[in-house]
Amino acid sequence: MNIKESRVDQIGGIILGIFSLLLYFVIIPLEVGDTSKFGVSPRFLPQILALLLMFLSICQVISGYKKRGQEDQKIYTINPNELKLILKSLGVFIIYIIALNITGYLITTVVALAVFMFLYGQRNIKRIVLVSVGIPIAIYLFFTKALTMVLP
Amino acid sequence: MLELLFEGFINVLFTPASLFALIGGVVIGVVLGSIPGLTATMAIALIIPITYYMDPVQSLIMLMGAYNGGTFGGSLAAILLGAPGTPAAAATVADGLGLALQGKAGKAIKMALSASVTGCLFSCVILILVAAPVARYALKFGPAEYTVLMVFSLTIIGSAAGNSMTKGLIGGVLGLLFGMVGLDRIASVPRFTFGVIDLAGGIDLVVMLIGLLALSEIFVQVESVAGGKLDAHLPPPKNSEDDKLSLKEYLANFKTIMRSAAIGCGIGALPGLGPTLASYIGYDMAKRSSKNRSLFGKGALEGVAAAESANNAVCGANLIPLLALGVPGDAMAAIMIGAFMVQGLTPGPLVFREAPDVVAGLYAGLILSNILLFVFITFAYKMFTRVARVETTIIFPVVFIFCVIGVYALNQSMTDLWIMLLFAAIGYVLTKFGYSPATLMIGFILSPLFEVNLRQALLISGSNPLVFFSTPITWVFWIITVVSVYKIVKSKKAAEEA
Repeated sequence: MNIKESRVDQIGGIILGIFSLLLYFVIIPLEVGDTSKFGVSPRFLPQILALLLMFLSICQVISGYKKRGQEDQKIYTINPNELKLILKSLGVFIIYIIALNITGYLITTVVALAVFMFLYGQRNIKRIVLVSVGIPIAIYLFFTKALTMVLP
Repeated sequence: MLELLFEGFINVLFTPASLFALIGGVVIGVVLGSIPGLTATMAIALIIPITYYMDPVQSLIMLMGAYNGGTFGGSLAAILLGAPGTPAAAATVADGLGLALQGKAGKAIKMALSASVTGCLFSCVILILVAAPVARYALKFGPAEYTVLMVFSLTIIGSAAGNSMTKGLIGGVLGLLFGMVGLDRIASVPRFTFGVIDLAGGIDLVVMLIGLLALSEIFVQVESVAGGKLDAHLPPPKNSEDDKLSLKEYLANFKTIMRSAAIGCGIGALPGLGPTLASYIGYDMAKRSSKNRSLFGKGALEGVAAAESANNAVCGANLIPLLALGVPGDAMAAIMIGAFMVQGLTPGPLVFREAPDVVAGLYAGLILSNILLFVFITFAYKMFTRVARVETTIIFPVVFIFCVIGVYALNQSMTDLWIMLLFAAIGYVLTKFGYSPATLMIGFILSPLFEVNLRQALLISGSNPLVFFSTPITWVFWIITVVSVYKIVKSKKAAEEA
């Protein structure tokens, strides 16, 4: 899938514009405490930055609009196969982080490394076993024995 | 002083325990610094318990060796993996990895090493010669001066913005906002914590850096795996020259190295700024004054030299406020204060009178640590470059694991892992659609320094904005800032016209 630069600028600008409005009117009032006891309020700079973001997002939408008809604009490519692999990697990563707390570092890391290697195309079983077992053990010994740190 | 320094050298070189302490410090620092997530500061924090059993000189030179080695070690991971081993090596990533992808990993490492050693040795000389006067001058910096200095530093965002100034500025604003997460440093009220207690302390710089630079870069590179590329992580050198750094290349970059070393010294002498900022300013200045500006970010040897010289120059320079005033310049210096106290010494003006031999030993140790670092890496760099020959199907998963364990080890916090993943996703989207993760990072680093000083200055002055124009130092920084903005706008216009 190919997306033209002008489209990226317009969509990006609109998303950032909505975010800056949310930031100014919802997130800052809810998430930033307000007190003027210490001179300038803690909301002062976040509000200025939200306004600046709003201004920049408008600039970006305008810039995208101006680029519309240009032929030499940049094309951003999203390959479905690449996207699939990245989403799979992200999925394995999320499961790995969740499992770390449940099954502990060693078992989870051995399995995660093997899955990642297989996912990226490694089919040599000997290498998969060697790396996915050897590296986690080496890291474990280094962190727990040499650095006396506790791993989950 | 020279006589004492000579004695310091003799003491370190001819006392086996001192020499072992120094070698041990440098090696531990390099190894820990080269692992993404483990910082030079963490290296010296881990060494502190060992130093309880040593005499003051041995203890301090081991810590300085680890700090120096750790600061350099970060660049090894930056060059070979595209993941900064330490935050200070973040500015090295683009050009270091760029060179490594051209089969010039060996050349990049040698340039990083030469620049680091030169930068640190220069700062040692400055430390010895002008420790006391510089520290007295640094004391004149109040919140207003720091704020204007930060305004100047923010101009780096414009320079690092790449082709689109708007996208670069958006990255910078987002970075400034991310830097505000946590308890407000002045009013102690929570900001953007969304009820998550772990966010009260803010987002850890290392967590953010690893997510934004290392993990997101791997996600970008994983795309090539989908394209069926299963060869070595980095290509081998095309010829023997790609693995070497000639004297001619070093001398061609000498001006850049010395400029960055001077910047590193200036930043290091000012408390609270640190090597990460120094490396970005050094890099930015080199980029602006380079004839080969277009090469920056793609594999410029000059870029590696500039960033590495500046960050290692901080190692010596941040001892200036520590020794002369007892003021810690950064987290490392704060740990050093602890190390002094463990030995029954208090850093500050009196230490020059109470324990001149310790100070001289520390100077000698710092200088020798550079020589040791040079010798160690010259012989051991091939061991590190072997990483480059490992297949992508192995290196990517292993770096994933290193990132996870390195980030977890920082604060033993699972929340940090989720934050790292969030920044990896942000970094991936930014990179994919032409935004600049570098500007986000610069904004993040400068955010607390800028805001705290700005608000303190306004608080002290009763909200009078003229405080930012009240001293000659502020005027000097305003002039530099205006010149800097003018140069950036001019260079962007020239680039657009070209």
